[in-house]
Amino acid sequence: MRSEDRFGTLVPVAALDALDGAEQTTFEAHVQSCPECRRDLETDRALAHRLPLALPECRPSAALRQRVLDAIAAEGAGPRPVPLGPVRRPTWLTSLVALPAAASVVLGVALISARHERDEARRTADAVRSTSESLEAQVQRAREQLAQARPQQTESDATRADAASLEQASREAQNRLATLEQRLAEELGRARQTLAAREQEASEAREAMARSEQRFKAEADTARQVASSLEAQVRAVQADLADTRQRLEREKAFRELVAHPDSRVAQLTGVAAGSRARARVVWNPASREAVLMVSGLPKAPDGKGYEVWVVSKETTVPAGVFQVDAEGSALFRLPTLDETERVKTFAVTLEPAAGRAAPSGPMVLAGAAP
Amino acid sequence: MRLAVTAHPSPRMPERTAEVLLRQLAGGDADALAKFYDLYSGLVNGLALRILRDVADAEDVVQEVFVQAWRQASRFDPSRGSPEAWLCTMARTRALDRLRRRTSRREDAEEEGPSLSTLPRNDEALAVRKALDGLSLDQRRALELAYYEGLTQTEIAERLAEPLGTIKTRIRTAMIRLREVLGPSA
Repeated sequence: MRSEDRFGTLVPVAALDALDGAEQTTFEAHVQSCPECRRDLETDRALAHRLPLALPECRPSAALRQRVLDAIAAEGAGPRPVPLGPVRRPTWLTSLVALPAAASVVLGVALISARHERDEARRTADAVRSTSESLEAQVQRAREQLAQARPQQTESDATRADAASLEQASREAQNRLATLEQRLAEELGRARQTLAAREQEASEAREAMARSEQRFKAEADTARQVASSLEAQVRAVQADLADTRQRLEREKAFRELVAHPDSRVAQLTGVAAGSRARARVVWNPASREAVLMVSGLPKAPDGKGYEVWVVSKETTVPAGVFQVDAEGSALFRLPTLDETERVKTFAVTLEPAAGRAAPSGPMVLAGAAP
Repeated sequence: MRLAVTAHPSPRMPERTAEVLLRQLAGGDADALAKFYDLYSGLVNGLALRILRDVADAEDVVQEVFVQAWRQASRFDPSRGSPEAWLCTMARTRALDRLRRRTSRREDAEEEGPSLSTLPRNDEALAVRKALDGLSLDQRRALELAYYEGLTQTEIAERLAEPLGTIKTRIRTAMIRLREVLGPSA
């Protein structure tokens, strides 16, 4: 009896006008072509409209009764004229059908939700159109029946009733169209609201993006600072490493020099009375490499330095200026000089830090080559 | 099928009388309309009040419905339902339209339905009330939200914070139950 397919299960919901979305659209289309569902829907609708019987009866005011009777009197009794010309679809309906397209131009935004609203509006417009067409057909059919009935019983009550009902059908159609028009306008309004809401969201998203951009920039700045400070550290470590490597090489050279069987050693002692300065020069006459190790020397005054002299029988040649560390020690590599081969004495004097060609300051250390 | 009610003192006339009145309305008999109004204005007003919860709005609907009944009496088809169902169809449509047009719904009054203690109008009313009492509270609530608030299944699901499928099943089960208990209307 009841249709077996999925539409059958929609009937009770449809009877309460509670279907919506795609389900409503497909169901309404199906009912047009399925007499079984249409009959079930009518049965369930009649059932639904018995619900108010359970409500308590509630008499309206006496004044209303008079108002209703006055309104009826104003309507006038008797047969109501049948409209003569073909029932025209009101011109607004044509523009109504075109409206969604126009609306999409106005909205002009490819927002999915707006598009959805527009489709909804278009569907409503289609429904309006099909309702109007079906009403036109009904009116046409009724008019044909009227034309057939007329020869037999002109001006009979039945004809009058038909005429009245025809006119009423057309009036009702107009009312329904007006209602649908309003619904469409409401839906377009909602679409516009949705659009405005989306625009609001978009601008909020833009602001949020700007904010996070700023935050990223700040983070990037911090990262750059950290990076440059790390770079400085690396440079410092590299410098330190180079320095250490140099010292290591110097010490290695020194150890090799000391270990070499041809190397000779000269002891230097403090010249000034009470000086605790001591020094030793290790040198190789063949390679002319030479290293000076000092301890117990006070730090040279500002602008001054200790200059080493290689003294031979013929000449006294400068062999570099050095400074001592905080403990008064130094390990100084002398330049390779020809004179080193024939050296008689090594001496150290206090000179200007740039050094001099000939000794001028006081002698602080001296020692003869053995 | 249904007998004329005599057990309750009721203003309601037998169905047949209503149909005779409707035929007279179709013929343009204004006196018949007055009788028809006296017979059903309580039902129509009760329904409009239940939906709109506003006396003035409900009375506007009552007026519209009876004017419409006057204009369309010739289109009433007894084979498709009772005069009550016909009037309720018109009243519900108009009241819901009005409800939707309202800018602010009176949600606060929502649970304040008309009192259920009122004496039933007749056997038919009693039967419908008993049938509704036989439903679960959830089923009844879903039916009422659809019929009296004009909500769609999705809106009901949102209002009750329940899955759509549950609401569909609930409405269907409730309607099938009513069908079984009440049978086809006269």
